[in-house]
Amino acid sequence: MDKFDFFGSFSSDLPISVIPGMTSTKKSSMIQVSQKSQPPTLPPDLLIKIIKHLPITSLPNFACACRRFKVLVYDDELWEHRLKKLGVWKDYGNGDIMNAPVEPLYVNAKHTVKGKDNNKFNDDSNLFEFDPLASPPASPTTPNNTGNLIDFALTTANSNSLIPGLPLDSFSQKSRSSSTGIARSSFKKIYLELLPYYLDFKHRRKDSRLFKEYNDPSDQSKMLARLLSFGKLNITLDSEQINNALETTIEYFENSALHHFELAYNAQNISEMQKWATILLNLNGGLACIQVFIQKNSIFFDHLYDPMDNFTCLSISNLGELNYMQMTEFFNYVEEEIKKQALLISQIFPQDADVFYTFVERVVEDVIIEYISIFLEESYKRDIMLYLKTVVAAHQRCIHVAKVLWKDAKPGLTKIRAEDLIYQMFEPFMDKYLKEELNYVKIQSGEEVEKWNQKLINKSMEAQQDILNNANREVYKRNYLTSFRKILNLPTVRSRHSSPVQSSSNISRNKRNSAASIASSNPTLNISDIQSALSNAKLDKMQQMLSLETALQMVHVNKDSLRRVSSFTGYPDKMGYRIKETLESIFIILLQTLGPLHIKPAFNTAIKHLGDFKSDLESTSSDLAPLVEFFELVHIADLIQQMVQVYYDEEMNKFIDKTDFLNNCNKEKKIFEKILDESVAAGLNKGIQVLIDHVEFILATEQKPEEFKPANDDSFDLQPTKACIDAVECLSKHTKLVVGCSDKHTLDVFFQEIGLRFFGTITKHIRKFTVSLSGGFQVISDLNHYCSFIISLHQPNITPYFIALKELGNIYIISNAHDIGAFVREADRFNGVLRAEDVYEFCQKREDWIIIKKEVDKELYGLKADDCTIM
Amino acid sequence: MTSESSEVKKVTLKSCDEVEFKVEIPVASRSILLKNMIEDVGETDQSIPLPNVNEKVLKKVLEWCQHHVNDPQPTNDDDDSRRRNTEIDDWDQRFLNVEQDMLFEIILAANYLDIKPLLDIGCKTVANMIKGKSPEEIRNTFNIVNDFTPEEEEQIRKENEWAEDR
Repeated sequence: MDKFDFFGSFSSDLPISVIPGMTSTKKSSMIQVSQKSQPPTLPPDLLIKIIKHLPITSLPNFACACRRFKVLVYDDELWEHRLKKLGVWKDYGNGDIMNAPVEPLYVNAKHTVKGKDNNKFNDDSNLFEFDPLASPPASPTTPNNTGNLIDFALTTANSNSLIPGLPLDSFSQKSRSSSTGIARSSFKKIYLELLPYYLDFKHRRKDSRLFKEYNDPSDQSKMLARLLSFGKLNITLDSEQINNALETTIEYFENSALHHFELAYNAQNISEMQKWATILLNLNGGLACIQVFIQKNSIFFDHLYDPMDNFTCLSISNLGELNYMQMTEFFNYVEEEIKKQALLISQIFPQDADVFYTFVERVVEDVIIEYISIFLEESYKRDIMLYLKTVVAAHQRCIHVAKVLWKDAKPGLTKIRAEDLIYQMFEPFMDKYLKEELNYVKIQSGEEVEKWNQKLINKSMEAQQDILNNANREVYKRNYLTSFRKILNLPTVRSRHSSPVQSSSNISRNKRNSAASIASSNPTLNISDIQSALSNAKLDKMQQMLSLETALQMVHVNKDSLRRVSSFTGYPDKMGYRIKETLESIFIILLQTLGPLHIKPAFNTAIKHLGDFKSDLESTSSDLAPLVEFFELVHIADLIQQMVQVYYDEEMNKFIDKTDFLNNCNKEKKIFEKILDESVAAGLNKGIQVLIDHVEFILATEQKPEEFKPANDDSFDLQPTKACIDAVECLSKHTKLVVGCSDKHTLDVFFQEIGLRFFGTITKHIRKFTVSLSGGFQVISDLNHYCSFIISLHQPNITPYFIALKELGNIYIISNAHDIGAFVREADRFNGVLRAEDVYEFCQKREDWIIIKKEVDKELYGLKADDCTIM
Repeated sequence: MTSESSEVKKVTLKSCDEVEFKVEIPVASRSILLKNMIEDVGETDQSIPLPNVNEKVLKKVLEWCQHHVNDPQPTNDDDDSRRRNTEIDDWDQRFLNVEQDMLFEIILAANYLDIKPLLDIGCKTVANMIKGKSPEEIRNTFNIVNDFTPEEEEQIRKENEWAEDR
């Protein structure tokens, strides 16, 4: 069978005119071959692949087979690959010609043109520093100068076009013809150096040549390591066996070196340790050695710190508070050990072996995590509050460890690595903690509300007395908020100084003590402060429905949680995001409990009370108990809302962007405020109803008919009637209560509504009475009184109504019927508030109406009723 | 046949000499080229033309794929470990015990179809044929014409003396 020429050797049989003395003798045969139908050939890449499977010792014969094979065997890629395996070749981007340094190509090209100038190339090739282990890079020279020339010609001058399957465009792919031979010759150097020792392992003798020629174990280890990677390059046909023998030797060598290392460790002989560690690192990276070093540290099996010790102190102090003395001691011990080891490791191991990190990692995993997890688990079993505090304390200690790692330990880790390590370690605890923290806040807040509700039921509702006047209330609210803000701030001072290092700092300790006496560690203290303030101000009556105390408690619980969680804000990535989320959730819980569960029900009850209220004779004392109650409620609610605002400003501001309207916290806060506003608005609405009803009741019961129609004309002193005074008094008293308890807009609406309804009430009221001429003056003086009250409300929208009313009063004191008609017609007088028909109706209430009616009608309609009948 | 096709989905491959092969997708997916193609195109009734492979070779390659259908996919980084062990398992050895041009055709096809393990054992087989042979023996084995002058050959021999077996 006619075999195909898969290797393409026919086609590569081309004249190479550049080479002296090699001008074509087979030109005709070449033409003949190329005319033949071209059989498929294995592309160079595949041939290289095949060559890579060949042992080195088979290469010379392969290269001798034909020109094409030779080019491939001499190819840089092949040898660079081997050098890379030995770790002595710098990678120029996968041998991409574009990334290779320019000089060799340039030199190469020049060389191709001037065939003789090979010395230059030799010089230039020395520019390459690619073999740190072996002696200076070998140049591709051979002793024979002429041979050298041919060598070059063959490696470099064979342009791609001469060999089929090689890319013509030298820029598109790796160009085989660009082979410089540098890699090959430097490999040769290493090969010749190592081969004798390598082959020596063929004969499994105890004292191989290597150990005879190199006495220093450090050199031995280096040689062994080199031989191992050398052996992996598929050197000879029987390299498998040699490699096995080599590996056995290395194992033996490693064990004995490890033994020496252990002995040195036990003796704490640093220089010996350092020596053997270096040997082992050179041999195979020293993993076993590092392992031994770390494992032998007593911290892993023999520290005396039991997390349960923390709880023995607990039972003594018995306050639900841990002082964490034991934990502090434990961490101090760990930190000391770390610092000590850092120094030791730097003396024994080279920096780039990163032994310290490995060590710390082990400490964290085996010692710290174990300690913390037992500690946390136990405290969780005992008390949830204890658990939450313990997590924070433990975390703070861990962060301190991180600081020790990058700051105090010398040479330490980088800050980022140290912190990452610690954060990563602590992360598994976070899930549970965040969940518990949220739960805790939720339950506590719920309990507070529940407690209050219980109290409400038990409390017998007492009659309302002792209401503060407006000025006092403002002062009280201001005082209250100031002290609240103070309390919020104090613990901040404390937490700022409660970093784990505080034990070292006397100043911070003092500060802490002073702060702690007032502040957060015992929140009831603050609350009792405020409570005393409350009772001083005699305001507990105000708290019939809403409890400031309850709200305060909730804020406290919330703030403590927030504080705890906020100590974790340093977390990176996802966990950091989750912590921020939890912070927000905690705040939201406050809003959600305070709003719908505390404030809303209180308002509902108050509004119901308002609805149930009926004016009766006894209550004409101008005090409307439910209304007052409600207004007080509004004040408390306002105070609570301001409290939340202060809390939000002081605490949440650190974590969230106030202007971010999509933020959940801000949204929830809006909702909370809306609930409050709506409750207030609903209450006010009801309040207006009740108030006006009451005013009507006062007017109806107190206004006597004879007041507007006095029997004798002489007795009027032009004072408003008692009914009028009482009504106005009732109104003004209650409207004053409301000032400052809600925003201005709500109040404006409230006042306007009151004004309008009051206006309606008065018009109705006056029309019930017959007014004499002298009674008219009484009416006017009453109307004046109403009007001045309304003006005092400063509501420009409703004052015209009452000015119109004042104007209207004049109708009763006009004696001339003709003028009355004119008066009624003059609608302008009333600014459009009253129509002529309305005025006409008032006019009918005149005592002398029957007498003057005709006159007025005539004036109004221009003709008299009599005129019609006569016709 | 129809019941079989309902179990395992098949693709149709067409060799350069217009012969169609119905192949189960897992078998065809031994070829990374085909695997990617099938993944990109999705299910199709159209046959996939393979202009670089003839019927005889394709049949042989598919036989290998069928036999190795459950092998783990090779990873990229085991390049060296594969080269290190020159062993080829018995089945593969028998499989590749073919005429030389067929062997080369299989290597070419494996390269084209991107079947790394097959390409690898092919190359190994060829390497094993070269190992330990003299230049003349290599030329004879692969039918190569010596295109060196005797001086040149001597020169090359000298240059590579260092690497020769001893």
